[in-house]
Amino acid sequence: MRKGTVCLWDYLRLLVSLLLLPAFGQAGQTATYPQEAVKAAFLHRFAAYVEWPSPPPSGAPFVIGIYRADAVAEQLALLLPGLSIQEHPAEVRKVVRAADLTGVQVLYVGTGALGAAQQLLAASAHHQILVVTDDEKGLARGGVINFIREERSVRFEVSLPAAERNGLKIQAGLLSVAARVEGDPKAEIR
Amino acid sequence: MHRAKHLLVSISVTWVLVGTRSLAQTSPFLAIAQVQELSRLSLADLTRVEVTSVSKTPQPLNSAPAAIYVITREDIIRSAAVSIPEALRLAPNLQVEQVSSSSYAITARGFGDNRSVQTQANKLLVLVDGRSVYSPLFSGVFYDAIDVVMDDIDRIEVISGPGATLWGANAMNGVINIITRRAQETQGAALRIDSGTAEQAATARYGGTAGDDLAYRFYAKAFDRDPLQTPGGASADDRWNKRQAGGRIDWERAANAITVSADAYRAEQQFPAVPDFAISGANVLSRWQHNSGDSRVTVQAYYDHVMREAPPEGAPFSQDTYDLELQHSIDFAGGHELVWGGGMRGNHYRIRSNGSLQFRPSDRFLHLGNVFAQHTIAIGSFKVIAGLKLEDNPYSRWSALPDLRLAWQLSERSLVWASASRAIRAPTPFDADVAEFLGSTLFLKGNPEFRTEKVWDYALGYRAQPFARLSFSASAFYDVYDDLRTIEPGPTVIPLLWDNQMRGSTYGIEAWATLQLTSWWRLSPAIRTLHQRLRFEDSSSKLVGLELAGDDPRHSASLRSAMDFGSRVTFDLILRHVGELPAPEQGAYTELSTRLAWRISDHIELALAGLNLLHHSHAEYPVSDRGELIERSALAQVRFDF
Repeated sequence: MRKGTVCLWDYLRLLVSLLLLPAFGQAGQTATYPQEAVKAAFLHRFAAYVEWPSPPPSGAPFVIGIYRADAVAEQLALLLPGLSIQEHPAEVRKVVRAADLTGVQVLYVGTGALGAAQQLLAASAHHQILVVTDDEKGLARGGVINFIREERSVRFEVSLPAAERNGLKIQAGLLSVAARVEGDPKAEIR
Repeated sequence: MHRAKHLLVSISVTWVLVGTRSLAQTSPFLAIAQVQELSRLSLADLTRVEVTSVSKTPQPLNSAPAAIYVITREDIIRSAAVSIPEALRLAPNLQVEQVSSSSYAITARGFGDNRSVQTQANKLLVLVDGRSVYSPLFSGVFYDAIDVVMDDIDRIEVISGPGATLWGANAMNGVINIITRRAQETQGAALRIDSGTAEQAATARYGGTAGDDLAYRFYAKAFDRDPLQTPGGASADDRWNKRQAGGRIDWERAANAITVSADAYRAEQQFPAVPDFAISGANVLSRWQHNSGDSRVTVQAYYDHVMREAPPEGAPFSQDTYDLELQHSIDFAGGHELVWGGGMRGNHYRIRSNGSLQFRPSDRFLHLGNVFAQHTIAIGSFKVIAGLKLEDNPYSRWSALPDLRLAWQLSERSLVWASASRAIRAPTPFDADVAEFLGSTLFLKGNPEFRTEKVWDYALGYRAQPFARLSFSASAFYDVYDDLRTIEPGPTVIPLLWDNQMRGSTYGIEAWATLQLTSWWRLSPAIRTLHQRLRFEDSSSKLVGLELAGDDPRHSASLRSAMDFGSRVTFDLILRHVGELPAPEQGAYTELSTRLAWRISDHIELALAGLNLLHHSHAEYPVSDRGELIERSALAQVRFDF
């Protein structure tokens, strides 16, 4: 093949690959995250807006319990080391039975596990645990906070009656970001 | 050589760059960086973070112990579907055949249309926001009467197999549950214009709120759909248009929610060589839901009015449906859930008999009733659902519909389920009251003794997500039918009578998967097979043959590709193959549709779609039985959101 045509071909080829690159590159550039990572970050953040009647003793860890959501637990295990929550070192713990709830401040019940988690949920009220669910019926089944999947993002709803039942106070900063607040006293008065 | 070297270099550069993108999902180092970035975001910022957009993968496994496929809003938009039947093509467990411009034959697990012998798919329950839309006259569905704002659909749940205890009547071979979004989720103004070689349509919707608790939306839509083609290539003269408007109000406060919705429509359809005829209808539905933690109550009532003119061989009718339903579910003793309830439905129809097709009586009030209870027990990783429904219809009276389902959650990422259930199709006026004439001779008569058609369904399914990027569902079914409809000679041979002299079994598999190849490319293959072993009772005359049971492909398959180029550009391909129809014969076909969409700004999206691209035209329903040809078409869509 003649040299001239070879060069032209090469330039064309290069041009095509350059044209393709931005298209492919862009796919990653708009920062999208796996939703498990986003949920893990939420679980870590929520605690800053919640008051527990009896916080963990000083030096004891702040424990986020995870029931049947390995992927979220993995993300938390990546996230938490080195972070503290309310001045306690943060820790993630996989929860299987009610006995595991001792010392847990936040409990996340994975999607689809709500039915099997009924005993855990009942016990969590006694342990004053912030129960976070991930199910359409989450709040109805005892969740204080429930994740809602929107088209391209994750949001959450809050049940104030459930918070009260578990002895928790939720600050306005969290309520103002919630997609929906159940039992909002403002709404009740009107 | 030189050229080859450059080629190699440019390919490998591309590969390295593309490769790191996909690695970003798996490398622990990058994952930590990602997570730490997230940990610095405020609560409000987190709600705005974009999660992996085409996200079938990270979504949890559906834990329902049934062959359920969920068509999402995004699937519908990305398929460029302009109507409900077109959107239903996305469900791998449905068989969808377009017969004419406005008419479709849709079924699950066979028993589809064979109109030459008066068989129309009649074993599905179709619900639009809780309102049943199958026709009580013959248990089939007029798909031209069903429409919603396509962009306001939240999801369509398609269940193949008997619809358990909780669903309404006629859920024999499947349930199609069309669910639109709450008014709270459809706020602001949206305008959509579709313009193409076979379709002109416009939809406008506005949603707002009044106070903290109440949200509403109103919409109006109109379309004009072109005729299909005759086998000779001429116009089939079945152009039609439709205008529809409606609205919905959702009120929610503390544990209570009230929904009120209403729609009204009118369509005009051309028919070769006769004046146009109109179909129209209106409905209003209200629903109250009370949710007090472990006890939930739903009360729903609706009224539905339908008026259909008909071409000369049909019988025009009007029909009014009144429906009241109650459902109560209670959680107790950790892991137990009891759902019980009941419903009443009244159907008042008036049919104007023409010369050849009459109903006797032509004016009648049908009353349907049911009570049901279903108990779910969760024991560790097992879930057992046992239910019983008792259903009453005016022809064959009470039927018992038991249902037993078992789900075993093997791990967070895999589920095995099994089920056994019984379902029926109750007799209709078409089975019991019809009188068909050939000239002045009464030729075929409904049978007042017509029995319910019955099925026992046994199914086994497995759903899993073995890797973060792959999820699949596979299920097998074995269905045993009895008392299927046949035509038998009457006491004096003519008139012939409908009867129940066919039985048999069907079996097959339904499987689909989602493979997230990269963060921007998803593939979804699916396959369905159906084997039928039907036979007449010995006492049957075997008139017309087993084609009476329908005309169904033995297999079909599809492959969908969904690509996201950044957050603004999407590109979709849908390839579908449907096997041949045995009798009347119609060859297999393969077709391809594609859509490219560009979200120009937060307010405007442009899309271009090419539908049925592989052939100039193709038939989905036997042309020997008046199936028409569907041409290749193009469609442009513009969406404005404010």
